[in-house]
Amino acid sequence: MDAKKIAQGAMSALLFLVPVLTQPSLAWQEGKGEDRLPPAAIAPSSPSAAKAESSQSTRQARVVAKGGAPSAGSAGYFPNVTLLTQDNQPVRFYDDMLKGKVVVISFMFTTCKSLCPMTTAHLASVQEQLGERLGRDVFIISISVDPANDTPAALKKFAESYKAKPGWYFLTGEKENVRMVRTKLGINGEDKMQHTGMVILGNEATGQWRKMPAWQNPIEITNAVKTLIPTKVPERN
Amino acid sequence: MISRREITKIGLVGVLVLGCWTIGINAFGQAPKSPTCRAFFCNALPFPRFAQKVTNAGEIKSILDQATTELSGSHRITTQLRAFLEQHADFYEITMERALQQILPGEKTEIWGYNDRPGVPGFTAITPGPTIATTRMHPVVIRFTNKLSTPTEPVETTVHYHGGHTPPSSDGYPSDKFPSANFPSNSRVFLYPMTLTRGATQWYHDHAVDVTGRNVYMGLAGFLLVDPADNSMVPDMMPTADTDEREMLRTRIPGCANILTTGCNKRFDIPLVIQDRVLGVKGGKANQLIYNPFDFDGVIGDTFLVNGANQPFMEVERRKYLLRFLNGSNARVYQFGFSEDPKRLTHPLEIMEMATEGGAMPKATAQTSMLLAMAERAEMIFDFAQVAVGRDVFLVNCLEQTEGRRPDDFTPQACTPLLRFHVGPKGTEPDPPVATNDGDTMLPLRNDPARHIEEVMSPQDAVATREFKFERSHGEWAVNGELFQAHVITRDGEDREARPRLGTVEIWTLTNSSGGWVHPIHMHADMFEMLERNGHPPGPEEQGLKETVYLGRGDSVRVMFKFTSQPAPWSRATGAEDDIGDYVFHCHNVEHEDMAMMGNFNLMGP
Repeated sequence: MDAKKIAQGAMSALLFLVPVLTQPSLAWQEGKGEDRLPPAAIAPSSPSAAKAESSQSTRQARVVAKGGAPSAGSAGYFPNVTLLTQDNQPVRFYDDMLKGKVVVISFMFTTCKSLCPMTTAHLASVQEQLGERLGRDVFIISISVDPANDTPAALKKFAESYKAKPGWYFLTGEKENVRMVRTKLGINGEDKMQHTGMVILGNEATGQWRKMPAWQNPIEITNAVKTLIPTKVPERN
Repeated sequence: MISRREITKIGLVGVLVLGCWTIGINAFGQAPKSPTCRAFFCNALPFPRFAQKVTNAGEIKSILDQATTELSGSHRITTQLRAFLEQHADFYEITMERALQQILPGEKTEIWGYNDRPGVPGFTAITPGPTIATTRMHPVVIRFTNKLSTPTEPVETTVHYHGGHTPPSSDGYPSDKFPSANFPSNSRVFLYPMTLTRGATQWYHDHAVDVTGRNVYMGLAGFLLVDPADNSMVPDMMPTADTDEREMLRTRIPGCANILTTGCNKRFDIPLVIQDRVLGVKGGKANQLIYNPFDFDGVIGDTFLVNGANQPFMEVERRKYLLRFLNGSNARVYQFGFSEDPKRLTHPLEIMEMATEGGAMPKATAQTSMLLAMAERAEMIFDFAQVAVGRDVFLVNCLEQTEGRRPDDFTPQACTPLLRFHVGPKGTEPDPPVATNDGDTMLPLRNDPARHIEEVMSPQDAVATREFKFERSHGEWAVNGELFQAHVITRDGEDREARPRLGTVEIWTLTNSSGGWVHPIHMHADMFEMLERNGHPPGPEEQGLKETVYLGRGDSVRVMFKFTSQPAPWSRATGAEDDIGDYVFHCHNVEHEDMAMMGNFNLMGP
């Protein structure tokens, strides 16, 4: 049997089986959710079972990339929604901000008084360390997680207070657009205080993406982003 | 409209059905076709090949020449050490390469694997990598070469021998990536003295800072199995304790856990690494490994792999086996059991656990299920005579987990089958002569300093107690509020830098104060004994020597170390120095590790 025939057979078998396999009685993963017995019905008898009990949880399903959806980090994965810069310029998030670029992405909001000032200050250090490479080889993108309050004008004022140079964008926009963008970048949930701790470094063209704590020493962030810049001669630190 | 859950069901069962037709094209070249194959769990369980040693004198010279220029500090290659290694060490040449592996029917999956026979026709890189098998006190020297980079995608790597006490320069320190600015060559030599104190199921895997999660997910992990010492390699170096250990293994353990010695049947000694992956469309090709770099909680998969195969099966005899478990997942915790029902563990079969990460436990412990967090290992004796010939036994996982934060509750009434064993008649090879029962003494902790074994320690001897909190704040993970920075020593709860001295005992309290997340904490350099879990003595399954401990939500454990410099096998011949330098300890949710949930300690001279 050659490979083509196997593939054809596989397809027809799958098509034939679809109606059958949706019957719960045949599905191996049946009973993972709704139809559980109460936990007390079967007491865990081993000590290791007791060890697991310290991990109580709420059930929060997470969509796992599967099938035909573009894989995380590849073209088509990022939403191409319109956002606004601190200069009130509409930009397409994928086409204008990411496509073909090396980027440092952070999350902030202008009224944040706890961590955000430090993370933004760290990015200001990264800006200094990048020098002329900012706006040429690397772009910094700070996305507001409080778009309802962060107008472009508020972002402009914020950017100026950190002496942001060309190549460092502050983005806001329709709440839903901002939510789509941050969710795709792994920033979930509604607690905006939990959104400010991460920076994401990436080279969209090569699909290399890294995440780092924003608290991390700015030199480490700069060094990490430099490794993503395509160069003919390897970077020396 | 079909729900996501239903799609998963269709996909999973469809895959299992189609799996039957692909027998004979698994990545390891094995083609057993079972007459009992049913419409699911039909891919034969693969076994990674044993790594082949380098025997060519020119290649050994090349490896030692490179080691001489690279290795520094306590294990710089002196003339004496070089002569010793030439005479006694095992040498390996292992490359990291991209390769195609048949995981699901149809399109092959691109993996990053290890290849012990680079350039030899017919041998490609595989995941899990080739199994390195050796004995205690028998040094191993490996040259790892990174051939993963492409013009558009440079890949930085390093390799950590997980479970070993290695010199700092060979420990895979996270920032010692290659190739990189500091290590421009794409190869490095690693020297492993193999000074652990008893035989154990260990492993090697990638450990490059920032990218360990992706590298391990793509396949960079393999078994490293260690037997007790024998006299065949280093005359007069076989401690009496190893003789006792060998005798215990010979009489109690199926396959006698004796990798290098003839006369033992490895058919009954089965290493199993369990991993979860997402396979989807990438670059227009189906069945590719999908690593989500934006998942900060830890990457969870929905396709279960055992030894790199999707929910495979194995023909077994109705007798005892040694099963060696490794949780090789990035962020998934498992609670395993054995059941005739593939979906439930309501009638569990008995597991006889006999070893943890550090080797044989003081006492065997009978279990009905077994929690295994990332990087933890457990060895067990499993008796398939608990069921009749012709029946199936399923390895099931009854800990559902839908995100990297933490698993859900243990649900024996709702399990996922991972591996099917089909029980055939018992062959001629007898079971081990001594039956192992709950509470039987396996191998007490012991002290034999003259013979290079030092395991007995007492809390009264502790010269320092230190507290480390594994925290979450503003979406960042930290150890005592600090993020990993290369060679910056972490401060303990009393604001002292963690600088333990060789030969001293310390007690560390490791606390999960991160709210809803769970963290398995892995210590480099030395095994520990658990003293307490949440104020109570640890359960029997956590007795013995460990180097990875699970911190569930709010958990706090106290562990005791004796920071040893187990004299290397060559110490008498060469007078080598102690292992002093920087080691790390970290969360083994590898995404958390990549986000700097990793501390440094500096091991100081006595």
